[in-house]
Formats: sequence, C-alpha cells, structure tokens
Amino acid sequence: MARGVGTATQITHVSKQHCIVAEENNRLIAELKQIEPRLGKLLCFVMLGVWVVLAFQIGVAQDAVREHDTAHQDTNKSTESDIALPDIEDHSSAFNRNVSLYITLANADEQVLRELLSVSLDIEQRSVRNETLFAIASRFTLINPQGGLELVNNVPVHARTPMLKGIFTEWCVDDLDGATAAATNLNRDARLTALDSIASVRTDLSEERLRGIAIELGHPHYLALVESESKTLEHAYDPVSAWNILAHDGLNDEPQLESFILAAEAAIEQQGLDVLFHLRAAFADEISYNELFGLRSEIFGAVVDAVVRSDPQRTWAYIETGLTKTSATSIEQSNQNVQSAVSLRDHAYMTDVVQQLLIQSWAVVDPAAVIDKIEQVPYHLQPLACEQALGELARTDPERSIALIQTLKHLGAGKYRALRGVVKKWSETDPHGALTWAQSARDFDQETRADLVETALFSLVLEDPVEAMKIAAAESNSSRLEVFVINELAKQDLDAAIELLPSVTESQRNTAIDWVADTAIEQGAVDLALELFTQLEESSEEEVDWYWFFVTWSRAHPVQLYERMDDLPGNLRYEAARALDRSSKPEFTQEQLDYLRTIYNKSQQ
Amino acid sequence: MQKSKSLNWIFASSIAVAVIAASVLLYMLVTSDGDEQVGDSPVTSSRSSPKSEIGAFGKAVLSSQSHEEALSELMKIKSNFQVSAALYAYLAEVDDRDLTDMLRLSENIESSTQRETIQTIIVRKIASIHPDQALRWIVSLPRVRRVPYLSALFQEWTLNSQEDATVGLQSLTGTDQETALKSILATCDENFKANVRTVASNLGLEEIVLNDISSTITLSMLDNPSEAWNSVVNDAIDDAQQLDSLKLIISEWKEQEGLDVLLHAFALFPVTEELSVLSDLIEAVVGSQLEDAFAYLQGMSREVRGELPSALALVAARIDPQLALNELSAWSDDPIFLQLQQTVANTWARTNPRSMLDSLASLPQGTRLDAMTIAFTHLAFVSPEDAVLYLDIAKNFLRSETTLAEIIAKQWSITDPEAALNWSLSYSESNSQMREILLRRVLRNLVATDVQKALELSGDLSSTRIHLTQAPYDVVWELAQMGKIDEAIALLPQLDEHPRYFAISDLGEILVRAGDPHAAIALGDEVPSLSAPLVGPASYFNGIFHVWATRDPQLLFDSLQTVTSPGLRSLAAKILLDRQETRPVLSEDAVESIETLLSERPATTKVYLLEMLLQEEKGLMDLDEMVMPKEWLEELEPLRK
Repeated sequence: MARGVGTATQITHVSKQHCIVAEENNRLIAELKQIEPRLGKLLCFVMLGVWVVLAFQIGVAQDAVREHDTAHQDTNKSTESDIALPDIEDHSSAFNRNVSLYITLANADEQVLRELLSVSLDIEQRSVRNETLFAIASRFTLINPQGGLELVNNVPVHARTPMLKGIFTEWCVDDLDGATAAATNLNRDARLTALDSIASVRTDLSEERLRGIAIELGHPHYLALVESESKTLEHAYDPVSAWNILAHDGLNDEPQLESFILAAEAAIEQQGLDVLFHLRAAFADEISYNELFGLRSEIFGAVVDAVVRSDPQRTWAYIETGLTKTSATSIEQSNQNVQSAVSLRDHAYMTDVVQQLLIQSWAVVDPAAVIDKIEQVPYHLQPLACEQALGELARTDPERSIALIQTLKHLGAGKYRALRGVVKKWSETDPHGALTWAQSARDFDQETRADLVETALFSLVLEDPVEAMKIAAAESNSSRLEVFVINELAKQDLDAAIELLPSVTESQRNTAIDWVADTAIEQGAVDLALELFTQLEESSEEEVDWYWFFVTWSRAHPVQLYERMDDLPGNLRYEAARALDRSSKPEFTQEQLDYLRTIYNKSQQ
Repeated sequence: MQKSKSLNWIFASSIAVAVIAASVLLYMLVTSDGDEQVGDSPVTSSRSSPKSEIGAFGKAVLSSQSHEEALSELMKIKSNFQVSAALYAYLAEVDDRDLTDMLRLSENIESSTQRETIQTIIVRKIASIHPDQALRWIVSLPRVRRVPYLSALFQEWTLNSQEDATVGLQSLTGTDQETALKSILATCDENFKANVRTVASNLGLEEIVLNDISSTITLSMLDNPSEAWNSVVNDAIDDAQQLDSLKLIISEWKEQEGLDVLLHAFALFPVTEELSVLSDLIEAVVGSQLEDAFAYLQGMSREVRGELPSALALVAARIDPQLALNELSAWSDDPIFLQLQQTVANTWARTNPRSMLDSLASLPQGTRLDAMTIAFTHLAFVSPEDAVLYLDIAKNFLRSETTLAEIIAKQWSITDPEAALNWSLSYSESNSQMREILLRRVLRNLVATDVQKALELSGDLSSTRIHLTQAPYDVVWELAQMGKIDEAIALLPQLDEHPRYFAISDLGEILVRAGDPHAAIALGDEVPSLSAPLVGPASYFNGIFHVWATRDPQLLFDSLQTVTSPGLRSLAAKILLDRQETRPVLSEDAVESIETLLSERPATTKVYLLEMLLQEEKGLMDLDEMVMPKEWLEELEPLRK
C-alpha cells in the first residue's frame, strides 16, 4: 500500500477547508465502493448526495474563515476551482497515481493545467513533484507551447528545470525551429536545459544540425560535453571498447571521469577485476611497475579508487586470492571464462598487476583497514601496502603513522620512499608538524633527513614563505634549500618571490634570481625577467648567461621572443636569434627562420 | 451571526433534495457508461477503465490485440506526453505476468529515447508489484543504460516502502548504488533521511546525503544569496561537489552585487588546479556578458584577480572563441596575455576542433601549434579522413607538418592500424625520415592485429622505448602489455641480440611475477652477452633474483641448488641474506646454509665483475689475459676460487 505522503493534492491553492471537503469526498467514494455490493448502487449515490450536502455545509461554515484569510492567500496559488492532482495516498501504488495523473492531464485544458501546476508546486517529494511538473508542462506545450514557456517565469527556481525539460521535449518533436527560436530568449542555464532536451529527443538530427542549434543557443561546446556519455552508450555491450575510446579520444579526461568509472564498472561486471589489466593498457605509457606517473595516469588511479571504494569486499577477495568475488555471487563465472581464454601463466601475470593496482588504491581509500590487515595481505604486496597506507594515514592521523614506522620497519616503513610519503601527505595538512618531525628525526642518514626537510618545506613555502626561508637558511644544505624555496614560491606567487630575494644568502642570490627570471618568462612576465637579468648583470661580478635566458624564453614563447627581438640591444639580439634558431620551432615560417639566421650570421661577421 | 447560520441551514436543506436527485441521475449515467467513472485506482476498480479517457491519440494503442501491436502503435505517436499517457493507460490493465514479456519486446525499439521512455514506465509498473523483479531486469542490462530505470524503480519503491527501498539499495554497487540513493533521497520523507544517512554512511556514500540536505537548504535560502553561499561554503562537504548549488546561488547573488561576485568565486577556488571548477562556476555569471567581464577584470592587480582571467578565458573560449580573442587584444600589455591567448586557442581546439582549424588564420601565431596538436589528436581519432584533409590546410601555417602527421598515424592506428599503415607509407613516399617517424607510431597498434607484420616493419626502426635499441623490442613490450607472455617469448628468436636482451630482461621479471621463476631461470640461457659492460646474463639474473627474493624468498632458497652457475648461485644467496636482515623469513638453518655457501664462494654485487666471471665460466673469456684496473683484479681474486 502506498505510504501516506500526500500533502500534495488539493492543498493550499483553495483553502484548507476545501481540501478537507475534497478529501472527505474521496474517502466517501472509497467507502461507497466497499459497501456497494451490499447496499446497492442507488443507495450509494443517495449517500453520496447526502454527504455532499454535509460537506457543503461544512464548507459554508468554513467559508467565513476562508474569506477572512483570502487577503493573505498567495495570488499565484489562489483559485476557486476543485481541480486536484491524484494523490499517492489514494492509490494502491505510485504507478497507479501516475495513471490517474496522465488521464487527468490528457483531459485538461489550459486553465485546468495552470491550476494543476499551482497545486503541484507543493508536492513534498522532489521526485514526484518534478515528474508532475514535467508532465504538466509537456501537456501544456501540446496546447500552447509559448504559453507553457511563459509559465516557467512564474514558478520558483527549483521548478523550472523539470518544466523546461517537459516543454522542449514536446516542442522539438513537431516544431524544432520554433522551439529553438523560443529557447534563444532564455537565460544560459535554461538554454542548456532546452538544448539537452532537444538533443535527447531528436536523435535523428545530424551532428551538424545539432551543432548549429548548440551554437544558436550559446553552448557550442555542448557536443563535446555529451560526447563521452553517448560513446559509452553506443558501446553499452562492449565496455572495454568504450573505455579505449574515452582514453584515446584526445578530449580532456577530467570531465569524462564519470564515464570512465561507468565503463570500468561495466567491464568488471562482465569480466571480473581481471579486466583492470586491459583497462590499464590504455595508460601503459604512464604506468610503470607499481607507480602511476604523468597527469593522465591520475585519471586511471581515480577510476581504480572508485572501483575499490564501491566494493571493498570484492577488492579484498581479489587481493587475497586473485579471484573476483562480487557482492551478489561468490565467484564470477566470467572470471573462469577469461582464464580459459588465456594461459595460466599469462593470467597469473595479469592477476599480479591487478593486485598491485588494487592494493595501492585500497591503501588510499582506507589506509587504516589496510594497516589492520597488513599481515593477511599477500607477502609480496605487504611492503607496497605498507608504504602507501602509511602515507595516506599521515593525512588524518600523523601520530599513528609515525608510530607505525617503527612497528612496520620489516615491511620497509623506515625506507626513504615510505618516509617521504608520510612527510609529503602530512605536510599537506600540517607543514609545521611534518617539518618539525623531519628536522628532529635522528634515525635516518643525513641525505634522507635533508630530502624529508625539503619535502616538508614544499608545503610550508605556500603557507609561510618567510618562515620557510629561515628554516632553509638554517639547514646544512641551505644553499640548495634557499633556492628551492624561492623557486617553489615563484611558481605560485612571482611577486612574493621577488620580495623575498634579498633574504637569500648572497652566494646563492644569483642562482635564485636566475630561477625567478625563468619562472617569470614561463608565466609571460618577460619584461620583469629582463629587468631582473639586467639588474643581475649590472650588480654581479660574474658573467650573466643571456643565451640560456633566451633559450628559456624561446621554449616558452618563441613567437613572442621573435616579435620582441628587434627591440633588444645588439648583443642580446644575437643571443636571442641563436636561441630561437636552436629551437627551430615548426610554427615559424621559413622567412622568419631566414631572418633569424641573418641576424645570427651578421653578428658573427 | 445566528441569523446567518439559520439561513445557511435552510439553504443547505433545500438543496439537499436537489443534490439527492442529482445523485440518482448521476447513478443512472454512470451505470450506462462505466468507463467514465472516476475511480480510486484504475487497477483495483473493476468498473473503472482509463481507456476511454486518454484521448484520441491513444485509441489505437489501447485497442491493440497484442502487446507487440500496442508497442508498435506507440511508436507511431510522436509526442512524448501522448506516448506516456497511452502507455500508462494501457499498462493499467495489463496482467502482471505479461510485463516482463513487454520489456523483452520493447528491447527491439530502435530509437533509444523512445525505448527508454517506454521501458521506464513498464519498469514502474513492475516496481509497483515486484520491485525485486524490476531490479533483476535492470541489472541484466548493460551498466551504462541503467540510470533512468534505477531512478524510476527506487522512486516507486521508496513511495511504497522506504525501508524496503534502502534494503534494495544495499544490493547494488558503484554508480548503480549512487543512482538509487539519489532517487531514494529525492522521494523519501524528510524525517526518514536520518535512516538513509546511516545506511549511506555504511556504504561510504554519506557525502551524497549531506549534499542533498545542503541543496535543500540552499534552495530555501536563495532569497538571501550571501547567507546561502556561506551555508554551502561552511558545511562539511567538498565545495567542488556542490557546484550546482553554488551556481544557483551565484546567479542570484549577481543580481545584487553584479560582477563583484566573481571575487567570491575566486576566494573559494583560488589555486590553479581548480581552474576548471572555477570556470564552470563563473559561467553562470559571465556567460551572457563576456565583454563586461573582461573589462571588469582588466584593471585588477594580479593578487586580487588571481586565476579569474584564466577562468574567464576558458568560459569565453567555450562560448565564443572569436570574441574571446578579440577581447584579449586589449590585454597585450599584461603578462598573462600569452597564457590567455593559448587558453582560448586550446579550449577552442578541444571543444570544436573543426571550427578552430577553419579559423587558423585568426589565431595568434604563437598559439597555433599547441591548438593544432589538440585538434588533430581528437580529429584523427574520430575522423582520420577529415584530419588528413585538414593537414593540407595546416601546412600553410607550419614550416614542418611532421608533428601533425605523426599524430594522425598514431591516432588512426588505434581504430584501424592497417589503414594507418597504408596512409603512413603513402604519405611519406620517398621521405625515409618521415616514413620511420610515422611507422614507429603505427607499430604499437599493429601488434594487436598482426604481430608478424609489426615485427617485419620494426626491423629498420629504432625503439620508441629504449634509447639505442631497435623497435622489435617494442613489439615484445606491446605483447607483454596485452598480457601475452607466451606469445612474446615465442617471438624472441626472431629478434636481434640487442633488442632481444632488453626483451628477455622484461620477460624474465614478468615470469617471476607470474609465479614461474624457474621459467625465468631457463630464459636466462637465452640472454645474449653483449659487448657492453652492464648488459648480459649477470645483469639479467641480478634483476630476476631481486624480484624473486622480494616475492618468495623461501622458494628462491629452496631453488639455490638448481642454479648451475656458482657465481650466480652466490649472487642469489647474497641477495637472500641481505633481504633477511630487513625482513627475516628464512629459518636459522637456511641462513646458516647460505652463509656456508658464501664462505666457500663469495659473491659480488658488482654486476660488471660478475659478467666477466660468467664469461670465464662459459670459457668465453680468460680473465688472466685481460687488462683491467688493479682494484678489479683484487676484487675478482676471491671470487674465482
């Protein structure tokens, strides 16, 4: 039986009192149906009549109250009609409520639809409200599409999207041009909703036509937005192909992450976790033995994290046994099918690779669980599990992570890679804490300690550059660390780095200026870089290497350097031409290259 | 007041008779046409039928003789509303047992949109009776098709029984579970959300519940956008996960504060890594007034505006790249100028590559190469023939088109390696350098379809993976990436010594990882001795023993006697002993045995010395005849006993 949720029906648009009347009427109808066989239909209708009279009397008595309240009624919702939406309460299921809803709507005219719209805005459940609004707007559009669109302006923000969907889903079927033209007058968000509705209904349109509509509606990038989604749908039965398309299509991976995850889930459902080996192949250039590197591999890592997060039990079973277990079934049949298609040795290798991927992700998703189960992790995976989990744990519980370094030393917890992971993750949330620990750690050799301090300084630079510089200066390898601090700061805040330059030890200042100038060039602040280098040349006793200055420039912005070359003094122009000629970028025309060589050769003469 | 009441009663009593009479009349009308009766439930009422009330459009559907015919009639209706109305009416009287059959029949509907609309309604009907059955049907579908059906099912299920729906939720995983949870949240009572939150928390999905709650709060606070903004920003949920709410608020806020709201957006997403999120957020603000937004930001200091110009350039490039470039011309004195131009060009290439390539002349020269690289990477994958056509246009803007031709060869080879190969050969004609570059790109994907052909082609090419070796190594590497280890091993005899060495090194470690270290030992016999000091059998076995000792030290210890070379046996023993110090797993007896072995025949970890020893063991070299540094001789002395 449907749950009693239906405040949504004959509610506030009339008065509360009329609602009571209408509800009582409905209840009476239901009661009559039950007693109908016994008393006969005639009697039922007589009773109905009596009840209507009584109800009317109640209504009359309450009209006084209603009249008193009229002044406070919301004009949008006010109507004297008895129009009512089917109520879930009155139906044996929500499905049956929808049957009634569509019958009601199919027989409603514009005025009735307006009243129903007003009522439907008060439906409590968001999903029911939205589908009701969608249906009303659809029906309205069949009668008067432009009028339907005007209605949207008078409803609250949260009601607009389902109504717009209803309107454009209906409108674009018979009058695409009219629908598109009407949509152009909407705001950007509404236009996107309209476009989305049109695209989902008019699958018969050519890409070119759809692109034209997208441009008309101010969302020319729309097709790129939905491309990955439609690709995964096209390959619904072959998720590995869908995955490969996503991985190779040359579009940004990040906005496609959900599609990647969906394709991976589908592939795993078909073939078990073994399929991660094949999914990994699309990113093989950026994944070494057990390390993800390169920007694109981050997407693959995020997908594996999602897979692990969605079913930790299945993950654990695979790590333990190399077999895929799903929540629903014990061991997936398809896993056996895959095994039969490849040799046992090939399969063993694939399993090994997948176990590595899973243990790494599991350590990211739930480091505490991995640490708790570390002894049950297969022997050869324990060091990797330990290293990853300690680092992740340091984000939230650095003290425990530090304590575990001693306990898990036999699993490599005391090795540089693990320690660096701990300090790196810890410093992201608490650079001072991580730095203090790295500085005070006595168990490590000098080189390890220095690296750990540098790792922690990386985060402190952004939080407190002055403090970071002081700490760098006090370390035994200060010359290196001071330049490191300036360089990292310059990448994030060029002005702050320049401000901090005087505090760099004099012997390292030139190197620091060199780095800041390079960063300035990369960020497009070439005049600032030129100024820094010119000052350096004037103040330094050492010779300044302009050639490498221009090499940096020619790598970052070769055309800009070419365009600015004639403004440079003679000796610098020569170095610039030399640097540009060396890089020989394909975007230069032959004439431009010839000109460079003219300068170069002229200077040599 | 008393008088008014009396009048009411008189009035009411007088119409009572009329109403009763009307009731009798109504009865007569209803009994003469039962279909017009307004029923409580179209399903439960024996007299009520929605068929005659649905309108002319549904008549053919409703009078169908079979479900197949009904579906066929539905296909003739264009209107989505009319399809839904007719189908709801039709299904109201369909026997429960026929519903699964209808789902099966509806799978044949060609249009995915129509199929989805129809199946969603059928699923709802099944869900109202047997939600488990509906769920079983949904999970039998490919995962990417399930979202609309899961949403419908869990809406229906929640309305019928919130508790049962949350139990059903727990039988799902991943994206399915998230979809179901969102549907439950959109449907359940407010006071039931605490229960849903508990369940979601156990499933690791609490953030979805919190986000839902936050969205509801946001909507209720929209009249005061500043407060709504603070509410979202200060809740426990990641701001980037609440982008829809933030967009809604900032759009409203803009009405009060104008473009100043951009600064609020920047304060929320200040770092470069969040540029994409920032651009999504501000699109709601600047999308309709790009020119004003550029002007607004232009006078600001770097510190104040932060990443906003870049975010604006991203938005503008998505909406109107030409306008974006025009607007940027006023920024030429700003250090960020080139970066912004590149952002526009690259975004244009990404969102509409053909349009960007058609407008190459209007792009600043410095931005073209990167933008073209992006455009060709996409185009050569989805439509290589178009990419080839555009290559001719691109040549007008570049001195050398090699980079772009390389991209075409590589991307095309993913979808059709044969076609890519043929194009590469024909395009490079007599240009041997171009030919080599293009073939190297095609090679890796050719391995998947024709290994022998790939091997033949690779002979003349240098490797893309290991400097100074040949591309046949790449063929073996690709096979290993596909998990075809046996096939890769079978290919080894066809490789020259140099690439064979590197291929064997990879495969040996893979064999150990595949749990077959003895095969790796056997493969060691195939390792060629090259004339380089660090590449040969010793180097190979050094790698193998290290991986083996990491994975299964006991097995390596048990296998020591099967290693025939005394030098290699000592190497393995030394590696085991070193490992025992950090991670002891061998018994004391085993350790003692290793120590004895090493005392009789010491080991060196200097691979170049071991390489020479192995050569001597095989009779390929006489170390007494070799001229070498004195220290080497001293180190070799005890090892040769």
